[in-house]
Amino acid sequence: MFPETLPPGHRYRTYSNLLIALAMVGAIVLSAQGTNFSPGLFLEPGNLKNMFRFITGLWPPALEKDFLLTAGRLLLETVEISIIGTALAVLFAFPLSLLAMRERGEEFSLRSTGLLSWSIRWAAYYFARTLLNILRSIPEMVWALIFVVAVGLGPFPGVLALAAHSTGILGKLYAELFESVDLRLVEMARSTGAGELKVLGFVRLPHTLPVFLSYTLFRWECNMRAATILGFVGAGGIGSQLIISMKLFAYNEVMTLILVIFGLVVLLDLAGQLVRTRILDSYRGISHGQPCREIPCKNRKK
Amino acid sequence: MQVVQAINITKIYPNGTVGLGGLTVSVTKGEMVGIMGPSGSGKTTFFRLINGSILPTAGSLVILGQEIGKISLKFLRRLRARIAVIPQNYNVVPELSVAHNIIMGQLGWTPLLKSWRQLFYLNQEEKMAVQQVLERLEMAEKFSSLCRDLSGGQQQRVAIARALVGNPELVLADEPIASVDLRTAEIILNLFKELHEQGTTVLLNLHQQDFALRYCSRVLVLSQGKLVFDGPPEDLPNHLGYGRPHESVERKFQVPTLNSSQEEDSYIHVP
Repeated sequence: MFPETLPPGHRYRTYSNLLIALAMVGAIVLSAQGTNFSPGLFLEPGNLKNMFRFITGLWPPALEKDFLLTAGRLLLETVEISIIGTALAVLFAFPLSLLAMRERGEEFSLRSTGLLSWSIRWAAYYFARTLLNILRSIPEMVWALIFVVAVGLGPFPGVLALAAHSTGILGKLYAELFESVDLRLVEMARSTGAGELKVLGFVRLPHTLPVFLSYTLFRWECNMRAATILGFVGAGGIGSQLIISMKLFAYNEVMTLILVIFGLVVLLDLAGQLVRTRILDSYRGISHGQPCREIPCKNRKK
Repeated sequence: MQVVQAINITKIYPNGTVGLGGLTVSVTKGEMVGIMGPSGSGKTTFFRLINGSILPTAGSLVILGQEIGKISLKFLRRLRARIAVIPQNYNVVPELSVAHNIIMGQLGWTPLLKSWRQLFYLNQEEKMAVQQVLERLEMAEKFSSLCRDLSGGQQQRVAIARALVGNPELVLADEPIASVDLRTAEIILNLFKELHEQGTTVLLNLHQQDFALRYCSRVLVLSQGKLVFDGPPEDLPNHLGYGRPHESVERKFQVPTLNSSQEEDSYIHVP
């Protein structure tokens, strides 16, 4: 490229890019210092010995019948926590998402609806958005700590913790999903005189159903993974045994539990993928007369 | 009785585009009015204003005795239930069956819980209502197909069936025959004519002026948001480009009519 054809400000942009790159490197270096990042620690004799003890202690995994039964029971509890937690989340997230949905169209303008209903609508909108934001921004583990204090130890606070966090996430996802429906379709449904709840039933829900289900199932998978560590703070599930075995230095038990959790997650991944693929496919498949066997993705909708 | 009474209505969109610039027009009950004009002349804006989807920036628009922009949302919905809209790009819900799409035309009259029940199951009465309109549009066999499986012309007919099933007092058809073959166009326009003879007011956007000649009792021509002609289609002035047919479609091709026994492949498709 000839120098005279370069756009004005080109040189300036080169400098600013260089500055950005320098700033990024600086951030990495500062962070490494701030976190005492030192790989050399692995090679210190004391640490090496500890690691050796831990790794040799892992094998062979504990396979006593009693322990396996306990692990199985706790695994079941983990799955149950995730199912109830997700179900509760859907229950709360759905109505909240309807409030948190921005209604576009001039018939909802201040001029058309009058001050009172306009302010009520927007107050509800911001209330729902804020509530969802709060629920979402507090992690599951913190919710679990809070609910353990509130309702005591056991799986119930775990259920509440998952429900609280997932409500925040699902509510936002649902709201944005319903908002994303083609405005022309929504306007058409409104033009028949239908209210917003009828529009939801006839346009928004049918139009977004596969993605809706896929989001929900994915959230259930995440909840299942989260439920495995809720026990660390006493909120039930397989994590409670994991933290006990860890503290008792029973590393072979830890190994069994890790293997069990690993198996669960892998199984779940496969099952979730299969089910989500089937949902997306069958939804398309009906219309095309035969099931479609491609990997599903959101962009394929049109 | 005046169905549409627009006095000097202006619509300027938030981005500054002028949709309509001072349109004064009134339509009496039972008229069949063709609205013509080039793209961007404000035809669709006019329909959206009548339907209350957008509000006029200035002027007053009284539809079936109610002034748009002055009535509450509740009354606007009741008003919309009496008006049927056939949108330009059909706007059928692709994931729903033809029957569900058509029953949507009655949503304004249906109670909320009943409408949700309809999503899962239609009772005999509702099925009959849908079947009747479908038969008038010669689509009875498509009752339970999904709308995404239909062709463009068929989707257009579903949109028309949806408009008719609610027994509207005013029909707004935005280019209802723009994407269908001539035979279907005749079916559709004959249907509108039937409605017109029963006393329904029909407003439709058209580009084909010989159809306007044959079917409409009155023609409005819009240009750049202004009314430039209002009168019977026979009087259309030449300089608007909609004047007397230089060479009508009928003279150019043999137009198959409803009762014609010609072969399917001899139909001419309107571009």
